Amino acid sequence: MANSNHEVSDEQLIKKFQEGDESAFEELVNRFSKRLTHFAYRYVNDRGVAEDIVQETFLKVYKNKHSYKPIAKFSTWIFTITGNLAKTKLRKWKTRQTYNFSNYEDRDWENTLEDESEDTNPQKEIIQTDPEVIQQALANLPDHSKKVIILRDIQELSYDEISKITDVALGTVKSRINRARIKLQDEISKIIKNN
Amino acid sequence: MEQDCYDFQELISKFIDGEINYKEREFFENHLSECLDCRHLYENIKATQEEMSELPEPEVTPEFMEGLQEKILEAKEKEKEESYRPKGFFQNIPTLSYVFGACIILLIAGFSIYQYNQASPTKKASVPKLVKDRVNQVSSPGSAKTQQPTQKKQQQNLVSNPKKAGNPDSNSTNTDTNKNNLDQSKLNKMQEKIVPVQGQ
Repeated sequence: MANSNHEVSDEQLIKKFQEGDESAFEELVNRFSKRLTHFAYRYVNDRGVAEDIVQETFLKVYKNKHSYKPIAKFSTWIFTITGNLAKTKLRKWKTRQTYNFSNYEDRDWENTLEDESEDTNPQKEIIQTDPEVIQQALANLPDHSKKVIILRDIQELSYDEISKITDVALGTVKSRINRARIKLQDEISKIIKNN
Repeated sequence: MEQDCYDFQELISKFIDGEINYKEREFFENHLSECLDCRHLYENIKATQEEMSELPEPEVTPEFMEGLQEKILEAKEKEKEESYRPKGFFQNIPTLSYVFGACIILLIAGFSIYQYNQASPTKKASVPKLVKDRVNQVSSPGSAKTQQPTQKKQQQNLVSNPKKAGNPDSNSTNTDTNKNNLDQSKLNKMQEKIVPVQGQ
């Protein structure tokens, strides 16, 4: 995504930085700080913590610049670092809920949306009018579901790139994203019901 | 949940991503028109996906850049401090440490082999060296072997140099053999005395 808008690719920039050009690092910070903060924020649901995570990410890149090998895209590498840091942060907080597949199997739409009539879809309207509900629902997703859905539907990365970032097989990534999308709707309907 | 609804849900992302095949599409679209719950689920997923792609990216604050600069400066200073810190000889040349280690192992191995040999029960120290040498001289076939060539040589000289036959020096060889015979008898006596010592 970032590569297409710039004359010098991300990979060329990191190579320059590896050769000692500090301005190349600054350019990489400018290119990725916003996207990474967005990703981290949607992941941990806290702006300040998200900024800390991204700072740590760039610090890791700065210190371990020679760890990057041009076999992978730079964006894949840096998203992997941010994702891992965010995951660690969430684990420390110990606030995440455990994913329960039985919930998915036993869910009952009629009970969740009691006022639903034949043709109306109040959940869709709420999603469109108040997108913050998505953020709240995201926070309730288990880590592995949250990560893949953010990378796919917010960062708009390819399945292949998500597979590399998460180190999960392509087929598993696809089915995980599908389940995460359904689970997200489940969480949104719970939030609507509670409010 | 009915099986058709479950199958439909499994295909939602495939349908959204355009990876669905003809047969699956037919089933998907039929079920979409028949099942209200599944239709709503699909609509909600589509709406969420659209909203997620449009969620505003948070602006990077000046504090973020300042904090990052501070962290990088700290890292740089640490790096400098570490580079000034004197390093040990083996830290600079790590291969030498391996060589050093290998030498120590060899030394230890050599020393233990030496120790083992010293303490070995097959040690022949019970027999005094002088006595042992004498016994070897007498009993080992090597001594006979060493004597044989000299005797042969002397005989050859007699045949090839008939003048030497009348040489008074030739008598000396005879006296030498007599001496040897005498020594032999003495040694035999000594050996008889030694045998009980070895037996002890």
